[in-house]
Amino acid sequence: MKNILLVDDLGIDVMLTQFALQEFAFDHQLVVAGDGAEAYALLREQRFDLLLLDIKMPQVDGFELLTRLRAEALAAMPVIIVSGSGLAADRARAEALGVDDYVQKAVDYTGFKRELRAALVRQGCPAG
Amino acid sequence: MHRTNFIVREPLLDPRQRVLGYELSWQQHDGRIPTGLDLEGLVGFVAEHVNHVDQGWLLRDKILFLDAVPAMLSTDALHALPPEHTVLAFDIRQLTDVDVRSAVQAVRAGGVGVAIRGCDLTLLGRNLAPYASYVEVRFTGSDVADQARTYASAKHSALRMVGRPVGTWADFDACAALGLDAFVGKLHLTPRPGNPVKGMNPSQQIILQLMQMVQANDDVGRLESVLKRDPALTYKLLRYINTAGFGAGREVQSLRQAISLLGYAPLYRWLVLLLATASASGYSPVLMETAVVRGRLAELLGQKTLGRGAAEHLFVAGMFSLLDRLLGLSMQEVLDAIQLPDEVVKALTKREGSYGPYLALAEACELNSNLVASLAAAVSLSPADVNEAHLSALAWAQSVGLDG
Repeated sequence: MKNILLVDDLGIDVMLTQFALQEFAFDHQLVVAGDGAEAYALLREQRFDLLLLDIKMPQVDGFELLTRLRAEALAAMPVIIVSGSGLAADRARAEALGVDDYVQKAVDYTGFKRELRAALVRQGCPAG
Repeated sequence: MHRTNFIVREPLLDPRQRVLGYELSWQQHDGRIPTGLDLEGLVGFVAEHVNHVDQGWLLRDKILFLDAVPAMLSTDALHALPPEHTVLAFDIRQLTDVDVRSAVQAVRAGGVGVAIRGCDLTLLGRNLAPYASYVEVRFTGSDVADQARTYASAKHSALRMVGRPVGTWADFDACAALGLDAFVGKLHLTPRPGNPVKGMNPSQQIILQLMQMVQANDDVGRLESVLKRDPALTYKLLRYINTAGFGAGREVQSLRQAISLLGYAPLYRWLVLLLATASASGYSPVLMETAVVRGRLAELLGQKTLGRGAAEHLFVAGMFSLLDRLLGLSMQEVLDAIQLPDEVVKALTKREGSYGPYLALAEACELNSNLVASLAAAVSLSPADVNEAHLSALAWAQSVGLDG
C-alpha cells in the first residue's frame, strides 16, 4: 500500500486529486495537509511513499517546504508537483529542487487525470 | 432547447419549510444529458421570462438554482439575471482549469452564487470559499451521527449546504437538525405529517359558503354580510385581487366593487385561492405554493385552446387537486363539501374530460416525468408553449403574495 501525502490549501484541488486517486484504484492511503507548515509537521512524524505538492499556499509554500525538507533530509520519497502554474520559472525552480515530476492542472478533469496517472506510473505507483 | 424539451422545477426549502427558491433544469429522458449549449439556452430562456424589462425580477425574493457549465460564465444571458437571485451549480470536476476558476471567482465577486456538486463530504472543512457559496451534499438517511460530524466542519465556513435528495419530512427534520441550510426533494407534493389538519376551520367554512353563493349568483349584499363575519378574509381577498392582476384597471376596495367591475366568475377563483391559503394549522408553504402554481399553469395551458371561461375552471381544478392534502381531507370529502362543474370533477378524480389532460400536464411539470411530452402533444402544445406557461405561472404565484 502506498502512503501518500497531499499538500494543498484549496479544497477543490484536494477533492479532485482524491477523486483521481480513487479512480486509479491502486492500494493507497491519502493524508492531506492544508499548507507547508502542516505538511512539515507530518513529515517529521510519519513516513510517506509519495509527496504530491502544490506550489502556491499561504504561509509556507511548496518551494519553501521542499527547501526545508531537502536541508533536513526529510524528502527521500518521490515528489510530484501538482500545480496550476505553467510558468517556466516555476518548472525550473522545481527542477532545481530535485522534484521528480511536475503535473500542471489541465483544462479539464480528464486531462488532469491523464497527466497525474502518467506521473504516478513514472514514480512507481501502480495507477491502473 | 426550449423548443424541444421541457423545464422541470424543484423547490428548495429552508429549515423553516419556506420556499427559498427553485432549481430549474431540463427534463432528462432516454439517458440524454443536456449539453453545455442546452444549459446556456436554459439561462437565456429563464432570463427572458422571469426578469421583466420594466417590472424587474418577477420571482420576488426567490433564488433560482441553475445547472451550469463553464461556458455559461461568459454568456450574455447570465448578465440578464439578477446576481443576488441566481446560483449556478457546477460539478466539481468542471472546476479543474485555472481560467474557469478565475471566471467563477469573477461572477462570485459580481454577486452570483455558485454551488458545487460532487464534493467529498469528508473534505468539506477544507477551503472551498474562493469558489463556492453553496455546496450540495447527498443526504443518505443512515449514519446520521457521522454526517453530523462531517457537516459541522463546514458550518465554520461561510458555505451554505444544500441537501438532496430529501424525499420525506423525516429526512427533512434530520437534515435541519444536521445544520443544512436548504433542501431539495419531493416535499412539495407531500403534506407534513403530524400536523393535526383535519377539515375546515371557521374561515374556510365562510369561504365555502361564499363559493356556493357565487355559484348561485346570490345577491351582493348577502355576500358582503357573510364576508363581514371575518374582516381578515375581506382584507386578504381584496389584497389577492389587487396584487395579482385582477384586470380591473384600478384598485378594488370592496367586494361590491369587484363584482360590479368583473362579475361573479373571476371572483370564484380568488375564493378558491383564499380557501387553500386560509389554513393556519398544518401550514405548508411549499404545498400551498405548488397548488397555486399548478392552478395557474393549468389555466395558462388551457387558455389558448379552450378559451377564457374554461381556463378559469382549470385554475380551480389545479388548486383543488391539492386541496385534499392542504385540508387533510380525502378528495371525495372535498368534492362532497363543494359543488363543482362536472368537467372539473372528472379532471380531479380521473384526469379525464376536457380539463383532465391539462391538469395532468401541469402536474407532470412538477416532476422529471417522461409523460410531459406525450401529455403536451395530446393537447397540441409545444414545449415552448409549456415552458413559457410554466415560468409565467411561477412568477404569478409570487405576485399573489402568499407569504404575506
